Amino acid sequence: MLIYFNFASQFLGKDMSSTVDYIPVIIQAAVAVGFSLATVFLVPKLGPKLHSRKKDMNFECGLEPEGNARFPISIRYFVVAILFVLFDVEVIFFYPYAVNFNALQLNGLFAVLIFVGFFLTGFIYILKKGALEWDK
Amino acid sequence: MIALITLFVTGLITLFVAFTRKPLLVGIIATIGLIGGLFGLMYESRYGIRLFPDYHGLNFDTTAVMFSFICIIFTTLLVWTGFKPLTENENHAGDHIALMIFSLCGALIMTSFTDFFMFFLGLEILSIPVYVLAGMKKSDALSSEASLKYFLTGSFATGILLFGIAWIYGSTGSFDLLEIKNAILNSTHNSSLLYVGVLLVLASFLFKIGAVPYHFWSPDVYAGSPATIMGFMASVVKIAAFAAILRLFTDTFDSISGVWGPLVLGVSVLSMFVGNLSAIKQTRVRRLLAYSSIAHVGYALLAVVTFDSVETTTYHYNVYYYLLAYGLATIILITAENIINDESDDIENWVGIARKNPILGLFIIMAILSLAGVPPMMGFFGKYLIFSQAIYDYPYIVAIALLNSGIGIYYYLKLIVKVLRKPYEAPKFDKLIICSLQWIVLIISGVLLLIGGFLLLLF
Amino acid sequence: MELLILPLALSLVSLIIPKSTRRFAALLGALASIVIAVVHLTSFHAGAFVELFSSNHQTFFRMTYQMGYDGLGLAMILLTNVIVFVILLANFENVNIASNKMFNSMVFLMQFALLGVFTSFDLILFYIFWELSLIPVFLIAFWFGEKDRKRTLLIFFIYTFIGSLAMLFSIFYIGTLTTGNYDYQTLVDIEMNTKTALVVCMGFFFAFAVKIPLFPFHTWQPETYTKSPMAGTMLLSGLMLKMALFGILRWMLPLTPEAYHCYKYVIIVLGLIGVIYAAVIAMKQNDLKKIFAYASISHVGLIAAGLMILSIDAFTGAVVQMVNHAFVAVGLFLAADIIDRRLGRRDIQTLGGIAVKAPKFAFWFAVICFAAVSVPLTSGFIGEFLLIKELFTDNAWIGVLIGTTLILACVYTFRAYQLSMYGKESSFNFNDLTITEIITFAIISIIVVVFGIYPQLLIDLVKPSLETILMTIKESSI
Repeated sequence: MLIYFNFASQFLGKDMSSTVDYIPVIIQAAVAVGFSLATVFLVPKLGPKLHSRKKDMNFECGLEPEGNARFPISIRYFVVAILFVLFDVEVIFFYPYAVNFNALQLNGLFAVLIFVGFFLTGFIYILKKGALEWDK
Repeated sequence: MIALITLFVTGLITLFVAFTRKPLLVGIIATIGLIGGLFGLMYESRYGIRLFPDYHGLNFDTTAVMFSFICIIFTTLLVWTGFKPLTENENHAGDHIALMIFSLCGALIMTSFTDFFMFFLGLEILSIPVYVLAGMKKSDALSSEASLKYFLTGSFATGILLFGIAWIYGSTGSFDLLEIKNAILNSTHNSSLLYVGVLLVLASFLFKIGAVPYHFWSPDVYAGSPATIMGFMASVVKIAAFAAILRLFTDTFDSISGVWGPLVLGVSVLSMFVGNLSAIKQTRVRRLLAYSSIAHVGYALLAVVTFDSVETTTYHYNVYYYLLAYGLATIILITAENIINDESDDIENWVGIARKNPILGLFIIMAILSLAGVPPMMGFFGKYLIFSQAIYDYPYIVAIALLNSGIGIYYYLKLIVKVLRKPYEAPKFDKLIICSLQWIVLIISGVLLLIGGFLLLLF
Repeated sequence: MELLILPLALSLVSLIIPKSTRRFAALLGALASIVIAVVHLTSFHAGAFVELFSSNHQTFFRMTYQMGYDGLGLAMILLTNVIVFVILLANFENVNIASNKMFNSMVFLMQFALLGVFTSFDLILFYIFWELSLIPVFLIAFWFGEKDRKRTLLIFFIYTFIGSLAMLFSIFYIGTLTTGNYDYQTLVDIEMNTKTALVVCMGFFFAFAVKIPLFPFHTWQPETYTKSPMAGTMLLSGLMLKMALFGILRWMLPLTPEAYHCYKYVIIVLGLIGVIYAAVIAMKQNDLKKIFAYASISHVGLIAAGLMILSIDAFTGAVVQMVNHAFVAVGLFLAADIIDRRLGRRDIQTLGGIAVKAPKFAFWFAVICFAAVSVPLTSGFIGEFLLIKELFTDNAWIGVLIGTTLILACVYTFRAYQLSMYGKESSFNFNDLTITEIITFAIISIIVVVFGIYPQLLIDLVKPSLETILMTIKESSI
């Protein structure tokens, strides 16, 4: 990375002072990546290993596993899942608003009302479209 | 701003009106909304009204209004020409048109942004509906392939764009275009961070417009997606992307044109050659159009490089005019594709169109001649404007571009010959059904193509 | 004004006129355009410049336009209108073509483009009309041409289009010197160094050499002339080719006199090679149309070579010969087409004895042949005499070599005439000429003979403008 910057700054005939500021960042990134990689690869090598049929099986909350996990799921499930994610994420936007509720005054309220209005429209749309009906 | 809001509301209304299961009503409302948006745009620019005086994220200046104008017109024409295929499935009649209108909202933002936030938003609003629309034909494997390919490559481009924006922010400390411009101008030496950022942004742009070497998605996506959506990608998406390029590169980054200029020039030359040479061997119309569109991007990029900061608006007009001519010709060909309406999209389906329907044949020939740049069609004047400007700085590149026009004439002419010749099976003279909306589209675009050049002489 | 609008209007009107009256209407329209041109002629003073359109300023998109005519332009306008009339008349009997709306429309569109070329005093406008002329002739040849014409026409279109693109490059290049002003006078006035002038003239030369066609660029021509229908061939040889010669005279020479010394002998030698090479090939051909196609290369080679001599005699000779060649070529191709239409073949080895069955045809064909080999009292004589004289003055060897055209032309023309008209008698029927065909031949012959006896008619018209052109060239080339 540094070599690249050196090269690039020479190539462009520019000073590289601002790039030097990034050296700590790069070092930290290297340490972080190195540590996580090292953990992943070293842990299996270091610890002792014991195998048994039950131990190698998937852990299912202490219950005996039953049947195969790979069975077809209704496509509706995915639709609902995606919609859930969509409407779930929007709640995140309320947090900054709640924190700044006082500061934003009436303008903020209108903005949020418009925002919620759009989502309501979307909700009505999916209801009308029948995306939430299970048996259709 | 009025236009943007009008269009957005139109999109929403279209979605809900579709529940009545009356495609015609959907079409009428969409048309009214689009035309209303057009008037809103003109009204706002005519009287200089700002709906939200405090808000500075979008700035509808002259360039933005011009580009938005043709974006809206092209979308309207495309909705008309593709009305039947778009509303074929009654369940989704409203969805497709609404998605096109939402995408158009993104295009409007792309033409008028003043900071990188709005730019990124615009790009995403523009792209995501198109990803969906590309996969409109659910039962068609090619269409799904197109959608997935476009989505995957498009997300990569978006990622690269964000990365580039981050670098630019890192070096200038701002998202605002004006502040970035001043930061670049005021600093005695720009850090290489900035250059890397600019080049990353450039790469994502070149991806969006399908320039070589970021063109690999475009033939597959163009050929796979429905004809109307292909027209949308070739005209509106490209125009919006070029508007953004002009705003970013020739305005904000113009003081460091030494960094990106040569690259764009190289990309331009490569695009011409790859586009034209690959188009020669194509046997499917939409693939051919895709490659020819790559070549046209090459010509248009030439105009982006050869700007002189004194006459900025002039070459804005050059690009604008060129893309207008290109878009009109593409819309005519897309209409023909919709009329022929053949799944295999083989070039042999175009044989004998001029015999089956002479007027349609005339329009097609006009469009092809315009693409090839034969006077008196509008395409020639577009090329004239770009090349006569570019020759001041790059005579050799212009020579190469003209050589490429010479290569291009070969496949365009082959297409013309196909259109003109007798159909293979004379008795099977199946009539081409052209609905009145498609006639309107053909006539509007055809007349504009024909007289567009002479308007240059008058004004 | 009406000079240009009329053909354009005619080309649109002929689309909606009912089929039965279409060919008469077309003839009337062509006649009207001749009348308008003659009206312009009567109010024209030699050496004047008449302006038709002008922009007076650069438009927003840096475009200018100016149209008008001087003596040379007016001569070409008259030539165009008369030839278009003759072409329509020649096709009158061929009802399939003459009553086709697209055919009439395209011929008038072609006329419009040609008039535009001859009246443009703005380089971009010149280019637009120059390219526009390609479309109608391509379509005529495509729709009405002979079998397996597609490949030939593709080659023809691409060849000429690439030539034009080279010219476009030159136009852009010259535009950088005047900051985008393509006005004729401005362009003539600019001073270039030899290198720039050479770059500019190369583009023009390529475009014109392809269209004329000069020797190494002629490969598209014989096939295209053979595969096109008669009307297409007539338009190509009678008018389109004149566009290129006119272009040399109007644009290439006055614009790039600085490079004149570099290309003078190139063009003369290429013309000379073309004259002899094409004539030799014409002698061995059996297809009538091909013979006349090569004859055309041979004749125009002489004109192109003559244009390179900077003297008033050479220029007037070239213009006279341009007019003569237009009529003669139309006449020759008409004769070939009459045989083709009556018998369905053009191979002169299978013909023979037509003169006995169709004496009128034999007579008129002979008249045209005599005009083609430039016997005295035909305009060809005036033109070729002046050209060869000037070439001889410039360089005796070239003069001698190029003079062989007179002999070679006799050989291939009369070989064709003799083998098709006389020789062994065959058993086919050959209807003699109809009245319209006689009128067509008569018009051509009368014009050729009138200009042969009294060339001053033409020379007085064009001489002042040719002198102006000559002056501008000589000023800068020395």
